[in-house]
Amino acid sequence: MTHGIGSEQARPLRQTAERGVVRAKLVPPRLPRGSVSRSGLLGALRAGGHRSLTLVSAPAGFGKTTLLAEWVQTDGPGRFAWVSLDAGDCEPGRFWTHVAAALSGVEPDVTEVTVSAMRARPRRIGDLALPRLLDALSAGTDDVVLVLDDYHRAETPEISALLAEFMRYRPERVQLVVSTRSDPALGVARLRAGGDLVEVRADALRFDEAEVASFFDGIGLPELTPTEGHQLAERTGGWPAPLRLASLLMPERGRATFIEQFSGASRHVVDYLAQDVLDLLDPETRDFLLQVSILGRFTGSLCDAVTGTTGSGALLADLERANLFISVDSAGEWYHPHQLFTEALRVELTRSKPTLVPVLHARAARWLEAAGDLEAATDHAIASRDVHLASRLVAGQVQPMSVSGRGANIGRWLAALSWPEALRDPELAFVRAVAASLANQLDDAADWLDVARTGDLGALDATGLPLGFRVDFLESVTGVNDVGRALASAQGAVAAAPNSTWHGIALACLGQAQYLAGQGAEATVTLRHAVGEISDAHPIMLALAVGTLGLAEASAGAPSHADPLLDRRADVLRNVGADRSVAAAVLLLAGGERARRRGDPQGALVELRLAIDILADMPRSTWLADAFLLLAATERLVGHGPGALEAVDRAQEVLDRVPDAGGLVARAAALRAALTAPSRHATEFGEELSEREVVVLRLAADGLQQREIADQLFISYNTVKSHLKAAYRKLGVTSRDAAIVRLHQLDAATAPH
Amino acid sequence: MNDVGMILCTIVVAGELDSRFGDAVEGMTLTAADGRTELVGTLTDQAHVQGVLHQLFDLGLEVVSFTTTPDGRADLPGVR
Repeated sequence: MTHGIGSEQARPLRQTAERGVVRAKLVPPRLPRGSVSRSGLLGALRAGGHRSLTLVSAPAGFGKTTLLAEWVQTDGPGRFAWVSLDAGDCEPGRFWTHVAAALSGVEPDVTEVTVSAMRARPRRIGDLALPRLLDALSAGTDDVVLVLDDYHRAETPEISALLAEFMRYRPERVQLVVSTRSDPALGVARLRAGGDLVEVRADALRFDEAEVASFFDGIGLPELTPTEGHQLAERTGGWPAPLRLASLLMPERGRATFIEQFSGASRHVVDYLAQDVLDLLDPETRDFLLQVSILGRFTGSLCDAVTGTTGSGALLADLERANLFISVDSAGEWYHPHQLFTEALRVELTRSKPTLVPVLHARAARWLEAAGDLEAATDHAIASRDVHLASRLVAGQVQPMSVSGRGANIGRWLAALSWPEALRDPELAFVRAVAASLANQLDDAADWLDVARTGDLGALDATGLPLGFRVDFLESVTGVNDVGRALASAQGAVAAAPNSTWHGIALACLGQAQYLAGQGAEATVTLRHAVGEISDAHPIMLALAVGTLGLAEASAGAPSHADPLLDRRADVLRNVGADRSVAAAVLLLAGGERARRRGDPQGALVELRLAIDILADMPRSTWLADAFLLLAATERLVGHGPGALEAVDRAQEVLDRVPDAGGLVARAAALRAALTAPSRHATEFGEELSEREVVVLRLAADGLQQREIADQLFISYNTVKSHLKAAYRKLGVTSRDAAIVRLHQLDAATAPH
Repeated sequence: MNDVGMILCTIVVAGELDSRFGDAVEGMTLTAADGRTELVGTLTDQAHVQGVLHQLFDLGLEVVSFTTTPDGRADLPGVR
């Protein structure tokens, strides 16, 4: 693992993250030395107790976190739930796991189960896990404050939507405090107008002259004269960051001159930080800080790993005591460098030692992985440009066929992995194919699978599946615009399946390809086996198999094993948040066929249209064409000739753009012919059957009773009776069965050759 | 090389910055004077612009003004 990096020290002393909870994020920082007490502002914060939102919003370096840390210290930690947010928290599962974990520290009713529910079903946080959390909170009685620090790092529309819900439904005793550098999208203007907001902004956070003086007193600097204090307050506008800066750079002699110059100069804080502050330090300390600047937060052990030395813990403690823009948590374990300082250091590091940067990131990635913080490890792996490491970490956090991936972070990581070598990496290409297929972007998925095939097909992933099998499998599932290729891939996957679960899944893919190829009977056999072998742990594949089985059985005229299973499978898909997936659409198609065979073509139309709504997102998919053809046949059944023809046209549009549509091409042609053939159902007596009579007769042939036919066609029972009587007369028959036989004879006679 | 679609950006921030910060901000050229710093550079597209603004935000820099010109002309000095 970490060879030659002072191995004893490099191994973390204890896990940083357990069950997805990074402990360091839940501990507020300790107050820095010389921090000014801001009791007025504390009063303002407390006043937010019964409003919807308490907002602390100001740019970097205004002391937001310090203010909140003072509040925690003053009022006692037992009342506060704290979360320090970072970029990885854009993932709802991670965000809410930490919120729940923070609350569990002060609320006995928020249990381990409530916390883990957040990770278990990330797609259902809004309607399952969050209400559960709110429920657990409703039982308590004491006031509690939830602080979300650095909210701007995690904010996305998805996160805001859930937080808005939390804000709305939480018990009044839970005060929500959001600390951020840019105003959140939580309807702040409306809250402000309704008097439902308490906000502490930059102007309130600025130090006044008394506070400036107090600040320097607290640091232990010899007393400032009022003029000097005034100058500094003026120059900095009370912005705490440069004041702290000035305190560091203040020489023992010639203070007045320094202050004069400092006040007169117009250099930005970061400029001072990148040069003057660093010049204050001895070379070793300087190098140390530059190297660890790649990290967002750190402990002694992590710093040792990154710098390849020992004794970082002691050095960090010294730096914190010297007020060097580093704060520490109350446990004295995790250090947080101030954002501006970090940025300045990074600028200097990139400028002076650019080739060292990837190495540092790689060391950090390895330490963080061993410590259990996979998200942070992945960020560093990507920054280190180590494609192999990044690929392994990203792939390990994607679940192959599950909807509950770490979607937001995966998307972010794949976007960052955009340099040529990363784009060529086969394992990453497979991950990209999975992500594309989950987003129903089948063309992109196919392209990425081509890249994936260039890799070592025997390479195993974390679950022990060879790359070749995974590619074949995904290709046969998503390759629904090239049926021939999907068929071949599926056969490959079936042959190479490593265990019975995957064998069943591969059979489902094969069954899908066979059905689309027009091999209804073979598909029926294959899919019956598949349904028997796939476990409930793979709900999407099971649903796809069951739905396709229903369609295959209908097309082959086989008795239906699938029909009784359709509803339950649809429920399960809804539960895992996959009700807009291809599998869900196929279940609807099967449901439509079931309705039709039960004599309810109108009901079938409803289900088929719902399926088309889902499939329309994938305009180049054979499934979409299949759906249109099923719709066309059903429209024809209820006498909507033009509607049926339009559906066939839509199917044809899809077929024209698809490389290989299997058996659908022939089906479309046959249906079109039947619809456009002159309906000259001439009878022996020379009388033609009317359109309506044909429609009613067909429904009767499908097994519908007269009343049912009336319902389906929205006509009266008597009208149906008279159509049937007329039809029987024209056909020269007296029974329904004989009429059906004659109709089929006439159909055969008018069919094209 | 096709330069159509590139955006020539001029960003002015409050406070003076040393030119070393230019590399940190996507290779833009810095000129500091009168309590302000002007950053000039050619950016690929809007996503790139947003990235630069984000970096300035991270550095705690206050953006005073921001102007762009589409840079599709080959006769500009220094542009190939």
